[in-house]
Amino acid sequence: MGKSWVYIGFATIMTLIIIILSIFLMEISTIITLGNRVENSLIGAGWAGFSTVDLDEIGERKNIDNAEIREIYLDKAKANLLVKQYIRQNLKLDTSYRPTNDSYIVSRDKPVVIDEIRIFNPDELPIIDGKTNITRTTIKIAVEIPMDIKGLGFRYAKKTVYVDIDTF
Amino acid sequence: MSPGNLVILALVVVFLFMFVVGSTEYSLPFFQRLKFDNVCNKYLAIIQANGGLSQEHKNELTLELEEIGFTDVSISAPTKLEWNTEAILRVEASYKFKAMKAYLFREEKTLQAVYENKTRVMTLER
Repeated sequence: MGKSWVYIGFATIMTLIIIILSIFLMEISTIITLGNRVENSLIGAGWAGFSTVDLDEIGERKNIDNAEIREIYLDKAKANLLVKQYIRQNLKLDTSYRPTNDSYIVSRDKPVVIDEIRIFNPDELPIIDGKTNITRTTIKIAVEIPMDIKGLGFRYAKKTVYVDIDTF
Repeated sequence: MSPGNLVILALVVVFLFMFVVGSTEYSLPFFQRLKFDNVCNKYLAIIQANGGLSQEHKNELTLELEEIGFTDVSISAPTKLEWNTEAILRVEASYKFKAMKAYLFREEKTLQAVYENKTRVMTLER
């Protein structure tokens, strides 16, 4: 009888471990998928920022006709506003950056936090931002996405993308 | 080991096996979703650079999605837009997969994947 209880106890512990691991696997899959979708939406928003080309600045530089060495300057203020607008549209957020019912972000109680939108123009390059070496005109977008993780509760997940015109 | 213990052990092993298989099957569509989004975003890049998707591009996108198991692909994209115009790419597709039902039966499920992102066209040469 005593040995039987040991077997049952061992089996119960193994079962619990497997169940917890399976739930963990499912949650990780969900988080990775959500992170990837957010990244793609941010890249789309970043590309939109490239439409705010500062033509005056570019016009004063040489090599404007040479696609290989032409330097692309962005209007930082306009780019910042436009990128924010497209982040809101692509992630389907309301005016206070909370995910709407159409959004694929499931946790809708807390807003998406935009930590940083930074434009690196050619006159600031090359530069190392964190661990990323930036050598061409780039828009950096850093956000925090609200998510409910089973077993851990509510968390903000950070996502940072660097977008230039050769992202793909 | 007594016959009773063997029965318990067998039941636990079977249950765990089914649970692991069920969880793995549940996770597979998520990885297909990753591929789906990345393929679609590649074509958003083409829209951003070229101003739209030609019929040839749409066929390529459909083919790429079908190759990774998606069916009923529907694409909504501009054909040719001018510089600094808003462009929307919307792609809908179905992904059919088999999954465990109540850890006993396998049933066919359909994941409806929708990709929709906006950008602005920037047709400067690269």
